Amino acid sequence: DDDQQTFRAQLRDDPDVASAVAAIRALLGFLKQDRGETIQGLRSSLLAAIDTLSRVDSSVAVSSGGELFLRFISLTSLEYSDYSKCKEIMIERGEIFLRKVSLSRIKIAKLCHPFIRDGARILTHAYSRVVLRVLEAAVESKKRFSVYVTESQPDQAGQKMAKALRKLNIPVTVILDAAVGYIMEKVDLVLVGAEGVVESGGIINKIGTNQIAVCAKAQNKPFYVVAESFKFVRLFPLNQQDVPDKFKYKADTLKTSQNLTEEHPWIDYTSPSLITLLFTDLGVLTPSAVSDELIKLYL
Amino acid sequence: MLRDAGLTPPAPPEAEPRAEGGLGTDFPLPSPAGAAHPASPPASADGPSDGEKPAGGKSKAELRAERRAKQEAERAQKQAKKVELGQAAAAAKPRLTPTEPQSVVKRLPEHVQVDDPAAQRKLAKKLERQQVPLRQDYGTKVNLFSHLHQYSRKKPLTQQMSIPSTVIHPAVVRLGLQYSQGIINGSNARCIALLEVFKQLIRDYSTPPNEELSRDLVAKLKPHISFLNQCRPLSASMGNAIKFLKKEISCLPDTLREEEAKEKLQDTIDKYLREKILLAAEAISRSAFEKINDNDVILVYGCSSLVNRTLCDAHAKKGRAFRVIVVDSRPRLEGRETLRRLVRKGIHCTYVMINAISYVLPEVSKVLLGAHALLANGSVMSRVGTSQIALVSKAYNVPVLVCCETYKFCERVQTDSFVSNELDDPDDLIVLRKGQAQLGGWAENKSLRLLNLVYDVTPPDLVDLVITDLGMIPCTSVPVVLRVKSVDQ
Repeated sequence: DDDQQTFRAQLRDDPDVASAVAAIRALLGFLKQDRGETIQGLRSSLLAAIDTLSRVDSSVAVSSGGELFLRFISLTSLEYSDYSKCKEIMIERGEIFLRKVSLSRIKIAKLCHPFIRDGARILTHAYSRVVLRVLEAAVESKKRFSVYVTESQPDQAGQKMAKALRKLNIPVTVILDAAVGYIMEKVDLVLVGAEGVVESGGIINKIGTNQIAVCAKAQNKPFYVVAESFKFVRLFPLNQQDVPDKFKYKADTLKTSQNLTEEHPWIDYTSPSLITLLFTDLGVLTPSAVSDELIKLYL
Repeated sequence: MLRDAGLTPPAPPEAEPRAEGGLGTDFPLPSPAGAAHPASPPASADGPSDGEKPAGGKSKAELRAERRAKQEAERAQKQAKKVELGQAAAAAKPRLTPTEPQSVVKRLPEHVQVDDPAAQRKLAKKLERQQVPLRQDYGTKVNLFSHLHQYSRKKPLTQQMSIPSTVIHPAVVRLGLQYSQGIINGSNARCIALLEVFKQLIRDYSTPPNEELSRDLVAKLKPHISFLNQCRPLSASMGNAIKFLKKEISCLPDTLREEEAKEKLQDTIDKYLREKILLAAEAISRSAFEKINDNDVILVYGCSSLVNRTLCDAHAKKGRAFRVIVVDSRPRLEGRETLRRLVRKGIHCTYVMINAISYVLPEVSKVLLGAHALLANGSVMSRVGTSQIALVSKAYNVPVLVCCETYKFCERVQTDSFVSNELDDPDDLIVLRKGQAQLGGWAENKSLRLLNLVYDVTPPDLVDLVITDLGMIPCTSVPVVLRVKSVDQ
């Protein structure tokens, strides 16, 4: 499928871009090429496109980004009776959305790096480009700090993160996932990214995040999350079981596997009571403020 | 008791009690006879000092002129004195009106001030004016709750009324009795019954001549509301419905004829009932269905119409197999009604009393509770026992879900269950066992008090999710919803 090709190409060419941003770019391209004649038709084909894209990359961010994109462009579509005019406006709004979204990481980095003090020891989990950006900003403001990264099995994403951090000349130590409880007394703060931020203020992130959060809470270390606002999703999981399977496992696994209980989930849910603050491009939020923002975005 | 020179007979003018607000003022006070000219003859404070007026000695106008001259003289003196003392501010206030308290003191509602005699006197006066009987409290109360009313079911308010009552509509009398005897129970049922009765009130209402419907109807509703309040304290849902109705009535355009206005009001009430209660219940039932998984064990407490409807709808959809544990508590034993309704639909149920919850909780996957009201700080006000269930569930890590329509959201804030609550008839706690009434002679025993609380408040950190007709929100987002709603209106 055309969109899938564009999407995959984008992810390949620019590894630094968030998968959701790539998805939105692909959707915008799809919107421009669409030959339909009605708003309803356009909406349903966009929904289908989002569905196909999430089959490529089954992350929460792609589906939430897609849904927010759809909402953003359809806010004004009902005012004009001429379809082509509507479509123009939607494309314009789509470009605005994309621009806003691409700038979100810079905003977050600006908000977050003051919380990293000189001499801090930071613990982070797996590979997150937003966290990388934040640490880059902290380095630019002449702060000295050291980072512990969990190895993050099964894909060893932590090694990738460590390599990127070494390039920035930040002293980094890779630790085992099981060593989080051991290292927690040494760190000053925990900083993780998120794949999705849910309505309760909790986050969905790479498996292992929940354990880190629980350890941090037990030792009274602040647990900070950095996430762009397009990752806000209208889910409300009550516990780990409640997270839908389509996010927990990769798209291919869902298609091919016989028995899901034998597969390892790739993500887990961290409850809002364990999170201290969330840094987003909408500002610095407490977990209970996330629901306010979601109500504003969606209602 | 106020001197209104135009109305009082000339005979013993000075013997009448003097006017209030004795600062030598001429502020206008409305006379109790209801004459609509507040600005006319100023009440004076000269009282018995005018000894020079034998009956018919001087005309009324002359007396008035004399009094006014004297007042002017006094005022001039006072002003001069104040200017001497250099109080410029006082000079700017030529009228020495009695000062209102400058700060805005929030008035406590009467129903939490039962131990304050002044507040009770005010209430008695108000009820007397509205011709509604005052219900007497019954039995000694527990000290901590002595600020709340405690009534006996055996002494309904109607015993003190003449039948037929001239002021209270008979449908309202019937409704009041149904409330006080516990025949209509549950916050949705009470609100629906209330709105139906108000519809009938409006149907039977006719505007008296020279009155505006929008103003007079509200005034006519007030004694009925006081009566219902005396029968049983109003619930939060009823309070919100009444506020809505009063606003609708006072916003009626003057151009409507009486029949049209009454039609319009009936339609608005119907719309409120349909949207806020019936459709909301359906929306909540649908959202809650998403949270019910296959092979779930759901714990419910007491009898909530919304929770029952959710479970029955979920069972009817036949997608998920689940079973229910119904928890019940004395003295109301409302769980039996829930049990009856669920079993009739074919849902697999277990019945336990509230003391057994720590025994059953390890096998429960989620707890589904109803609410009487949701307060502005996210606390949940519900039947007594709910906060206990939430607390123990938290200890066992079982998610607690509360179902509540948005019309029950209150601007009030409460952090405990003492400040504002309802005390039910203490005689309900007397139980008949083996022919003997346990606790039967409690009134004679000086050191024994019985407490039958109706509501309690669950703090927001014990509740995981609130399911409303606007969607699923965390407890802390209740003020956001209130804000969004007030913007809508």
